[in-house]
Amino acid sequence: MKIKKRHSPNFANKTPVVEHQSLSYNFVFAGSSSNSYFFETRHGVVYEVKFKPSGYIFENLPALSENTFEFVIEIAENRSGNQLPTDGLIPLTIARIFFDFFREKEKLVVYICDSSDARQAVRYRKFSAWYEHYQTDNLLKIDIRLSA
Amino acid sequence: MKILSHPRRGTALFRWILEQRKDEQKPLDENQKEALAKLREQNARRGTPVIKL
Repeated sequence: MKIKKRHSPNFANKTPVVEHQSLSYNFVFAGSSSNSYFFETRHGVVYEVKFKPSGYIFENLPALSENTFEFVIEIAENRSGNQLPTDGLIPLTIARIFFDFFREKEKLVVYICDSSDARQAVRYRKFSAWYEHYQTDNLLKIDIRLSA
Repeated sequence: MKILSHPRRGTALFRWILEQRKDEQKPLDENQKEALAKLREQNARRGTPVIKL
């Protein structure tokens, strides 16, 4: 499990320079209970990026629990078939969505590397690589390993 | 101090977190469908889903 925290109140002005020099996908914020964002790739794959309220994790710490969200990336539609093509625009798109969600106020985001298909290590490496690439001084990542 | 209603650590905590996350695969609600339609409309108007910043 990884936790990211925003420290600076002026985070909106601190987006990485790389964001302004690259291509990414157009996205929309759909809101709803899980704070959904959507984007569609040129291959016809629709991704839903969610920030699900997850106060249950810090239920005895109200100050944290109301600003805690689980970060989830899901495929909402895949018109290209079962095989997902490699797509170099996805990382920056997801990073932009992440920064967009963090603009409003200080938040905690929990990313759980799902182990149900035994690919948790792949997810951990991917997330960590994105964090290293797009990180600013306003983000802090804390890794926690849970064993079942 | 408030008593936690969930396990504090280890396997029990891991299983409890998995249990809390079970509501994942919900169908899109009306707001989400509307947003997705708006996204597709924007992309169609621009002729591409790709944007340059």
